[in-house]
Amino acid sequence: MRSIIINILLLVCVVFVSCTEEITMDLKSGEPVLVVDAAFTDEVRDHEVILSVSSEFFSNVPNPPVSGATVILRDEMKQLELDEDAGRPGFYIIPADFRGIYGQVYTLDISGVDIDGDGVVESYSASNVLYEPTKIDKISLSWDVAHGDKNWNVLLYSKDNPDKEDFYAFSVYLNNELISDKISELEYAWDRYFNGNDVNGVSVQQIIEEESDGEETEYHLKEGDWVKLEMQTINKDYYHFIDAVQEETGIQVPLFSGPPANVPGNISNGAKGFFRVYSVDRDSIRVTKEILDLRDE
Amino acid sequence: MYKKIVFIVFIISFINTKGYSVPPVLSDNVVLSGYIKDGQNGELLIGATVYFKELKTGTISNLYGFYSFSVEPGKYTIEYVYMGFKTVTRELEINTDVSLNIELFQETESLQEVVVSGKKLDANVRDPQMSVQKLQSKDVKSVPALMGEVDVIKVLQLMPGVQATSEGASGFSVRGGNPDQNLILLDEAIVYNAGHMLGFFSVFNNDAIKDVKLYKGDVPASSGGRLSSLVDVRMNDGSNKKIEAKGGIGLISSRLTLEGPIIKDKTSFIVSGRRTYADLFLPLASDEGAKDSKLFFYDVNAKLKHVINNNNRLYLSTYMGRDVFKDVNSKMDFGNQTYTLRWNHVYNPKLFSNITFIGSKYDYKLGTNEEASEFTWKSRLRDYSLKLDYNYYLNPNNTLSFGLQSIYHTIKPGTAQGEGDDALFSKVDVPDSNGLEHGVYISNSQKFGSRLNVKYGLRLSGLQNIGKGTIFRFDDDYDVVGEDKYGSGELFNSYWGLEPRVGASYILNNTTSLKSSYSRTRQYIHLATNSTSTTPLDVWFMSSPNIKPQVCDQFSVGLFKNFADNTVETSVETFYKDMDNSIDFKDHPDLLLNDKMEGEVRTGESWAYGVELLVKFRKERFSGWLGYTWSKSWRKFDEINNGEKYLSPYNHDHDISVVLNHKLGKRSQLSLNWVYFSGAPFTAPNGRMFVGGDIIPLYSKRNEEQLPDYHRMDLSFTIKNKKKEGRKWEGEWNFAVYNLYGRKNAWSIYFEQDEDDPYKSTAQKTYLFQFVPSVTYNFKF
Repeated sequence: MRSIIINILLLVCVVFVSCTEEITMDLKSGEPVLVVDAAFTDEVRDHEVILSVSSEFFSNVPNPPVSGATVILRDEMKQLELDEDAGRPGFYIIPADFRGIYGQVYTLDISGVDIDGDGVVESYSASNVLYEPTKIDKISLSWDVAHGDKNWNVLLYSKDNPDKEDFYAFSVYLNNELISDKISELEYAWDRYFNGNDVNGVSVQQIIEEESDGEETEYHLKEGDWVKLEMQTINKDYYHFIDAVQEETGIQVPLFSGPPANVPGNISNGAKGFFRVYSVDRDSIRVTKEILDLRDE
Repeated sequence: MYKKIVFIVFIISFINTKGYSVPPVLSDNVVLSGYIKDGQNGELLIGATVYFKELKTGTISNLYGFYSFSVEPGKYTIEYVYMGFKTVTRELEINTDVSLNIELFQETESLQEVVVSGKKLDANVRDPQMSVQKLQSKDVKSVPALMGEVDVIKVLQLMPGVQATSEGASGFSVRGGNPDQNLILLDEAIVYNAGHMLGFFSVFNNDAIKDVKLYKGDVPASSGGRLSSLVDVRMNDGSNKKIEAKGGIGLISSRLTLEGPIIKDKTSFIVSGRRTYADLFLPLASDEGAKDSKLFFYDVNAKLKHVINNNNRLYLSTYMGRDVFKDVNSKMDFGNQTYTLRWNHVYNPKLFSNITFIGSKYDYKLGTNEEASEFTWKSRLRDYSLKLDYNYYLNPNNTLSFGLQSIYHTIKPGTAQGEGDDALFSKVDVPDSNGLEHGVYISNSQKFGSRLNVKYGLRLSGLQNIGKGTIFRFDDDYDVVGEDKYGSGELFNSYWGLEPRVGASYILNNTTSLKSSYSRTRQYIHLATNSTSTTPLDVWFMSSPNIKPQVCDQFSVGLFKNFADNTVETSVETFYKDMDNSIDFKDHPDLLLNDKMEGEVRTGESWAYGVELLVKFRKERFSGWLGYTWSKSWRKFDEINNGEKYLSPYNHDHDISVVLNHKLGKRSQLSLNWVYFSGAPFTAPNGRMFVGGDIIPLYSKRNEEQLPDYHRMDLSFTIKNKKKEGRKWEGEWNFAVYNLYGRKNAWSIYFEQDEDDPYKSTAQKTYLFQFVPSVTYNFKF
């Protein structure tokens, strides 16, 4: 919904010749804080908990990792202390055999760190529930040139659960390569506008072949390619987090943007970042000649 | 509490000084009254001075051109004065009530005449009214404008104490207040969104406007409902002498006005229309999608005036305007409509009344045409109002005003619906909101001797929430814990409050006075907007059990001095505003199509203070003004910025405006304006983090950084075609340049992750208009 509004209003702004240029600015620096970047799903694979420290805004290097912390993941029945990856400091691995059970609350406890360097050891914690996933019935592709760029729309066919308030996020893969690899590239939805309805071919993700300025991207569909849609059943807190991240990383225009603010988080004791817990369903579609005809006509 | 004491002291001092005044008022006084008009077209003149030379005092005409003054029977020399018009002097023997209508004629453009009429043009010194700026259509016309579109709101933004909310916007902030705290009236109807094209042009067609008054404070007791200002726009009535037309053709819009009598001297009409064709330029846009789009706005002002007899006049006015935007996939349109029917009735030479029926509407519609997710979204606000105003010219020293107003507001904040069988979206319907807003007032303007002029008044205002309606109940975390539904017509909540308004002016000498005022204002309807500049999609919401009315106490003191035979007016005013129950929103609020929107609101306090300096001059060849404002505007909300005070987004430490007009010859004029103001505050990051592949900024305090200072110069040159004998057609060319030296003033600054280097962020500045020339041809016949 928001993207529709932004599209309309940005188009109006195009009429007024506005320009953008890079400028240099001096910004104040705040106290460093712990940043937790962690995701846990119902998939059977390794997951990562990445701990780092915040840095000043114009720092041009990766943020310093936090090594040697004690990181424990638990649900109501079991718990596990995570090992740090020897080759990648700051990365703590949740092994594939630590399985996610639907309906359980997953809690991440972090201790044994002293971010503010005052000699006192700190601890942090974050929790989230793993919900059962809503399933994809099937997907299809359509070709879209109406919005200035040229892209494929991935259309979803599914049914929303009428008994629950559901939140979703979507990402897309081309030949098993994740295209929407950032939170700001996810598409996300809240069922308050379509609770319990059939979802019949609604566009939930895109693969852009040519940008609105005419530049071609690295993605160009060929016969035999596989396009995969991943539908994540997430929760309300993560939904608001994605929304805030997209506002904070998107274009800010005086007409439509409010004052910037910190994105919400779910980690205690002043740490930033997000521990997200969600379940996943995927479906794929093979790119056939009929599909390519939509574009090449 | 303190304010109540101040008010009571004022009342007591009035009682004590009752014995102070002047020649005892005899009960067999007689009254001179009537209407003051423009002799060329019959337009009633607002604020014209009626001066009794022998008494060294007089009165002014009211908003409908009516004046009334009581005197002892005798012989008097009376001067009728109005800026820009030749003074008319009458010698009269007044032994009974006399009704005298006067016609004044405009000064002709002549280099030899110096436009001065002596001490009677010192209204700005004598009148206890302060914090007010008055503009006429011709003042607005001479100021260079963006793309040639002369605009009364943009000229108001050049006054001290008034700033645009962002470059080119129609939204404005008065003395640090929010843009929704300005009451904008067009012939007494409230205009909710005064901007076309996202605010780059205002809804006011200068050709249809007679008079505009901006009250930055010291709002008269007859007005209420907004905290920061009153912008009272009055339309022309239409010439009742002969048919006239005028218009203009410009780069992006054209306008035409037709006015004239239907029955000479009795009934007149005026119709003004305007349409842009900005979409002509779209094929030049680089964006493919923009090429097939439609983008335009139009507006129409129409008015009918009928003089039944000298004591009864009827006016019917209307405004209709619409902005339309359409492209292959989406469409949007929005606009205001206002209707007013007014009846002026003079009961007796001392009692003038006006009764008005008003209807107002603001609505917008947007939608997409995409298959499978086609939807439309509508929102609408409607007002129906009744207003009664009386002016009672009790005696030479006292002029009373009293009256009442009730407005029925009905708001449909938003309805969105999917179209078609496969619609993904079910209907989203934010419940209607209805309320009755009332105001009752009485005020008196009293002279004590020849030096002291005091006005004091009281307004009682209130809001009643009325069903149908749904109010959600929230807990301390702003989560919904219940809802209450109310049936149609059910009154379920009310807020009432007193708004005292007092002001005084003390004349130090013929050209100098000291003025001070205190006013309390209350606001019951607020704009849900998260951007500093308002957008057409913003929705108004009323106070309710969850949202208290906003309240403002404003004090101001000023020194007013005229020089050089009143051709140079100067003033210094300082103000302090203290506001309670101020409204702001939580971080990243969800304001659109949200029935629980009240849960996004946060309340707190705000305050502003400053000094305004204005020098206005009107000489033979040069005229214009210089304004300087220093001000600060603060907010403090428990749940925002960790409860610490932060600068309002409308804070500008310094604001300088220079407007200069230079008559080069009989037919041409050069105008220049230069604007400077300190950059608006903004929130900049003080750190960053990596989460999920994104660089996300971290912020500590709100509005701690400042955008670069803004300044620009505009220039315009107007040349009139030689007037040919016997030819009615008059034309003139106007050439203007906006932002002459092309400064890249920052419209916004945002931060972006570098495309190539994922660890790098850069600061980007967006700027708009740089050196925009325009050509306009204006005509009249």
